[in-house]
Amino acid sequence: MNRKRDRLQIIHDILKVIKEKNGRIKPTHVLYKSNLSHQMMDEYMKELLEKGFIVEENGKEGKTYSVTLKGQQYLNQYRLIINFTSSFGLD
Amino acid sequence: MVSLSFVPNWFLGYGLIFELAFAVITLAVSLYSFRIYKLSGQKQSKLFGTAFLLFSLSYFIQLFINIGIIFELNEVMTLLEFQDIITLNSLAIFSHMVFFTLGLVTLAYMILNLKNKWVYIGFMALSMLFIFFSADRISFFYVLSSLLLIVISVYYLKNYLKNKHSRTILMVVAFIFLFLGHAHFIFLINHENYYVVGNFLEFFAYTLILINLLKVLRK
Repeated sequence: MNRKRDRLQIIHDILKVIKEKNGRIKPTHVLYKSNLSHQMMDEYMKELLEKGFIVEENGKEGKTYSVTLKGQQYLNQYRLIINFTSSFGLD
Repeated sequence: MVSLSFVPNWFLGYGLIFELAFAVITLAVSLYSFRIYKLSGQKQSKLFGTAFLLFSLSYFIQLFINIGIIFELNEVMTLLEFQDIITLNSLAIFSHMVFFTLGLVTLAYMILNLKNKWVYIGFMALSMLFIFFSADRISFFYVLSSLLLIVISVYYLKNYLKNKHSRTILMVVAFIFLFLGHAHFIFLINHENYYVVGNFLEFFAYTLILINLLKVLRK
C-alpha cells in the first residue's frame, strides 16, 4: 500500500474510531486506537478539523471530538473514494 | 468548399463528433473528480478535476467555433467574410492549444507533487508566454504537449508497476495514445491524413479513460 492511500486509510480509521465511541471521544483514546505517534495524530486531527470532518468540544470531561455529517459522508463513500483515486492514479 | 489549415474537408463533420465526445468524456471525469474532492478534501482530486475541466474547455470552445465555421463555409461569401473565417479558425486552434496546455501543466504539477503554487503559476505563465510569442505556435504546442504527455505516461507506468492495479494500466495506455496523437505532428509533414489518425488515437485514449470511470461507477 502506498503513502497517499495510507493517508486516506488513516483518516478513515480515525473517523471510524470516533464514530464507534458513539460519536464522542477524548484525544487520548484517539491516540491509543489509531496507532499513531502523538505528533502524527495532532497533524491528522488538525486536518480533519480544517476539512470539517470532525468538531472539537470542550465540556466537563475536557476536550472531546465528534464526527460531522461531512465526516460521516467520507466514511460512507470511502470505498468509492479509494476506487477513484487508485483507478486514476491519485494516490 | 475551401480547405482550412490541415483538417481535410471530408473530416470536418466527423471532427465535430470527435470533439464533442472528447469534451463530454473529459467533463464527466472532471465533475466526478470534483465530487471526490468534495467528499475527501484530497488536493490531488481537485487538481485532477481542474486539469480535465481545462481539457474539456479546450474541446468545447474548439467545437463551438468549428460549428460556426462549417455553417459559414457552406454559404457563398465575400473575401472579407472568408478572412473572418480564417481568423475564427485560428482562434479555435489557439484556444484549444491554450486550454489543453494549461490542463497538461496542471496534471504534471499534480503528479510531480510539487506543493508550491508559485512553481505552478510560473510554469503556466512560461508555457503561455511561449505559446503567445513563439514564431511557430503549433509546432511549439505539439513539442510541449508531447513532452508533458511523456512525463504523465511515465508517472502512470510507475504507478502501475508499483501497485499492479489492472485499472491503472488503462491510464498508462490512454496517455501513451494521447502522446502518439500529439507527437506525430512534430515529425510528419503530411498533416492532412495524420490529423485524422491523431483524432482516432485520441478517441482510443478517451475511450479507455471513460471505461476506467465507468468501472469506478459500477462498483
